[in-house]
Amino acid sequence: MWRRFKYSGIGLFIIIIIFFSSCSPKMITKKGLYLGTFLTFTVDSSHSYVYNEVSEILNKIDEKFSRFNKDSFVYKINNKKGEWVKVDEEFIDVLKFSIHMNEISDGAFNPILGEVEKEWGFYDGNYKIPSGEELKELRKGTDIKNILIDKEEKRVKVVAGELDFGGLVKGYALDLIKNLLEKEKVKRCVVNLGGNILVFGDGKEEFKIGIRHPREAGLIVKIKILSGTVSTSGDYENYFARDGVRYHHIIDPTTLKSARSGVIEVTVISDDGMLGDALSTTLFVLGIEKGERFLIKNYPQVKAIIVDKNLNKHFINGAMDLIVP
Amino acid sequence: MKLYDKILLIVIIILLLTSVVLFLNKREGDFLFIKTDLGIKKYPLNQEVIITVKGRIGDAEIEIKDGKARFLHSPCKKKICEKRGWISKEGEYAICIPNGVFIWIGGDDLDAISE
Repeated sequence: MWRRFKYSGIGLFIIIIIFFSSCSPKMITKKGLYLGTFLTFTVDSSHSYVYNEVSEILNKIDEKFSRFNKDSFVYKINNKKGEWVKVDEEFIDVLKFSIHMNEISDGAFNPILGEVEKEWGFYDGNYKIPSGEELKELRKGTDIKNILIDKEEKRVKVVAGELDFGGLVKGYALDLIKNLLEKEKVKRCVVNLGGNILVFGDGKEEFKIGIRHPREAGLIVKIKILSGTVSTSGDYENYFARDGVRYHHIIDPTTLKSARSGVIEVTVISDDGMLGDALSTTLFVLGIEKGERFLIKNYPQVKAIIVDKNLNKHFINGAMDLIVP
Repeated sequence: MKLYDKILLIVIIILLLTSVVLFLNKREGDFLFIKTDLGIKKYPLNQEVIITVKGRIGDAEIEIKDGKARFLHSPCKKKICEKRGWISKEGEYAICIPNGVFIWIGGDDLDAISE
């Protein structure tokens, strides 16, 4: 009798294990508006409380890095031109990273294009095409050397131009959220911050992520990853059309006009969110050949998918392996 | 019934009940699939559109709106397909047998979309 129970008991136990392991943990989704964009936060139900802290993290980032928040460091620096503004160490670290990206990319990434973006109307939607004369005037404000950092006193000033961290701040936010998820030992989580994605799991079950089609409704490709961030930049995000020409918000720092590198969408898959976010803009500006060379040389661990204007997909650093058929 | 049989029975009942709950707890779908004799086509549900498809006896109109879909018009006699009304949850379907048109809702089982 006992033996019979022993075996049927083991069998039953196995069935129960299979049954419950086949059900992924129950997930809870929360939504909110942060950093001028939409947040969808999906987490295993036993860790839904971390959302409050996520919300705090994002609000703090807004209070430091937003162009529009009047109390932010960025706002103060941009509006007290030529004056030192007291900041903190975190701010200096992010600023230094953005300057490093500028140097390493030969200027393709530029964190001081605020005036240019504003002139084109990409901030408020009052789109216009600036004249050559106006662009010439704006050029003075786009020199990376306009940014001065006093590390000792923890203060920053710009002598001309305006800071704009739009090209990396969402990725930076994902990094801070990831640290929190690690600390709280979260089992499974998907963060979607305005199309910038962070997935965090147990390293066994993959996440499936769609990449938006740049010209049609639906997806251009699907990828699967175990963890990391996915950042996409496209010419469809913020643009206007005049006389059949598309003017989009990804500005080429050499022309101060919409980048015309033959690329229409770049997706970067990286463990480091801030790097991935900055790289998606950088590769967009550099174009396919230069971008590919740049990424292979400097960030062989970062994968990218570049879509050109003929809708051909270019896979860099083994991004092909991530594709879901 | 022996004690162990009872335990087995209880466990099986629990598993069945959980399955039923999971089955009923279906989520809203992302795509509409339309099958005709010409093949299967997939349409995102996040659009407002009326699709005309060729069936065996004539053209059917299928409407997508607010994340739902339905047979808007069908050349069949009984209009059972139209009476089925809106479908929106994964696995829900509507069918027009005389015209050979089958529509159902599917998910993309994606965790997120990067854009």
